[in-house]
Amino acid sequence: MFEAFAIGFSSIFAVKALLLIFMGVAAGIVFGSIPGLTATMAVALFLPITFGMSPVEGMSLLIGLYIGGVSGGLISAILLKIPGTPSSIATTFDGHPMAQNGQAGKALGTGIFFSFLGGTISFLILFFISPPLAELALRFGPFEYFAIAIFSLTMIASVSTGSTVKGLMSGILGVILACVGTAPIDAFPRFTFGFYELDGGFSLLPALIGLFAISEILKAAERVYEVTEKDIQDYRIKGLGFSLKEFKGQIGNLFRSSFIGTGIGILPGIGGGTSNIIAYLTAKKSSKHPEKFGTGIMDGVVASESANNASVGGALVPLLTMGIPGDTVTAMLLGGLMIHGIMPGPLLFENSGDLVYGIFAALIVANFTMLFMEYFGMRIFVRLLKIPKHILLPIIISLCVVGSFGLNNRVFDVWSLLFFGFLGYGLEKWGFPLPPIILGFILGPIAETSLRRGLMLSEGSFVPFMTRPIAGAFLLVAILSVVMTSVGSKKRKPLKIDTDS
Amino acid sequence: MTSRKKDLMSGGVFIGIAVLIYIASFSIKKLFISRIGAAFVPQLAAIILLALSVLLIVQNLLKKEEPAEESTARKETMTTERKQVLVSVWSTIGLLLVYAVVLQYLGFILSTILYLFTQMIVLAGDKKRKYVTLVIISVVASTGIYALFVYGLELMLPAGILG
Repeated sequence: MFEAFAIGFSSIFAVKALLLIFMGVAAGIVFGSIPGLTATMAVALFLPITFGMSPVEGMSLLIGLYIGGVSGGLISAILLKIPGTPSSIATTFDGHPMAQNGQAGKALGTGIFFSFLGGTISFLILFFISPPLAELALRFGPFEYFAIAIFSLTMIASVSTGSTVKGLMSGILGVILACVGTAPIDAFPRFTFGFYELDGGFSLLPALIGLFAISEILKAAERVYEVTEKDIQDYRIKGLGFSLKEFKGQIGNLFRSSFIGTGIGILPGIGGGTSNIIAYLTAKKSSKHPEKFGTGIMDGVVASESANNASVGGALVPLLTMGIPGDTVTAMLLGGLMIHGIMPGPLLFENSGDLVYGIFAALIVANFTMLFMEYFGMRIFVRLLKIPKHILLPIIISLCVVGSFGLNNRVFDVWSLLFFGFLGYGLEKWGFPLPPIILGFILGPIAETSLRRGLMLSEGSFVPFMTRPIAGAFLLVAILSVVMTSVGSKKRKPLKIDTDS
Repeated sequence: MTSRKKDLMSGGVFIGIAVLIYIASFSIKKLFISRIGAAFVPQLAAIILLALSVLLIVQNLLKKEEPAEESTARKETMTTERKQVLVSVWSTIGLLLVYAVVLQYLGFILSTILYLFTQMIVLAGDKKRKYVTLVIISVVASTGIYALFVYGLELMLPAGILG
């Protein structure tokens, strides 16, 4: 393993790769900190830049954006009381009260340092569980992949936003959109309505960029939020921002929140947007002084920030070992890898070990970069919060257009971009969550292909899907999770969470 | 619109979509007589979508009507501010459509300059319309992006009449 890491590090310790990581982290922090721009959007916009790079270089840039984007949200969460990304919603609960009590520097310092630690813990978990998991996944056949895809589809619906029914509907809609184009196995065209451009189906990139960037711009058109000088709290970070004694008091909280974050990251389709809130609520529940939460104590910031960064490592586990994205950003990374003809999955560890360990190394470097940039560059990032939105957002749209066009050099993909953008905006207006659409879009074809391959192997029998132990277990859990949430959702009031990280 | 009305409406729309997909799936060709062909997953998905839409509608019909406070509050807010929101959202949608159309004919640089300038005016609202600044930003951003991607990253972009 250490040998593999050495190879990984050597592949990114080149001037270009390191520069790309630094650039990625800096841009990620900017995207994360500006409300309305998210880590998902940052990765979507920078994807076209990676077309011409080597896979390791491209991934270095995207990993930097991912880590910077997830962490950057804490800046506006603490200083403005607006979460920069959904990953830092819970950071506002205690982070902003701390700032109002004159502890803005301490809140920022705590957020940055525990983001770093949460990330580190999750990367260690990723490094240790993904190689054996990939080895296990090598033995998976179509039966197992079908079951895992179905399990993943039900997971997102049951764990994510408000209404279970609406979540499932979004997921199914994604599956239907993915049916457009050539069918797997027998290659008959479906729902192309005479458009030859649709023979290959909708491309993943315009779909992702449309759903997560264009719809966001339309939302911004409703109310353009401008940050002015007096909105921003005064701050000054001294040292790390907190004392050694305070740090020791948070160790339990750190590990609990990081494990929650990593676990939620591993679950397909949900990431930092959900984990920060669950970690915050858990920290409050298990605290000796739950009444102090919300008044401005470190515990809340620690829980939220270590959990959201821990989701990064978690979300990469299913992506690298099985090719199933753990959240919306890893769905983008999947797209980024596929552009280079690399299909993530168990074989990735055998065929492109240098890339896998290059990604691992990039994670570590990007995490340290994030730590230093946020401690020492805070003034610059705060100043960038004041860029007028009416100038920034249109430029971002034209970059979306570049990204969609550049993929296949055809205007048709710009139309798909707009189609998905309008669709996403409309669905959000009607209260449907968007991440399940992407999950359905990616998992639908996996499920269908595995189903039909499996049926060819078993000569039309469904029995192996139930009797193969791993496949059967996943299907059972899938059914249970739908039944449990539909029973449970009647009793409890659903928590409104935006799961887009 | 209350969330109940939204749910009822979206449920209805999705029932329509499900039925359309189911009907359209009959025209998908089949290789041999088998239940699981190219049309199986679309049909299954359409049936599940139909069932979920019906469930959503039933759920909302069983739910009690939300208290009336929202409706009175809504009438008050359906003022100029709300109209402005509608205007800016719909003109953004319109601008995006026009952008995609002119992209083929005018090429990236010209159509992006036009798009950026008009979109910035729409988003800026009434107050801060500094036209000269916005024109300069549009031109610089558009040519800058073109130069970066075409010369720096060797990506193709529509050249149009300037090419």
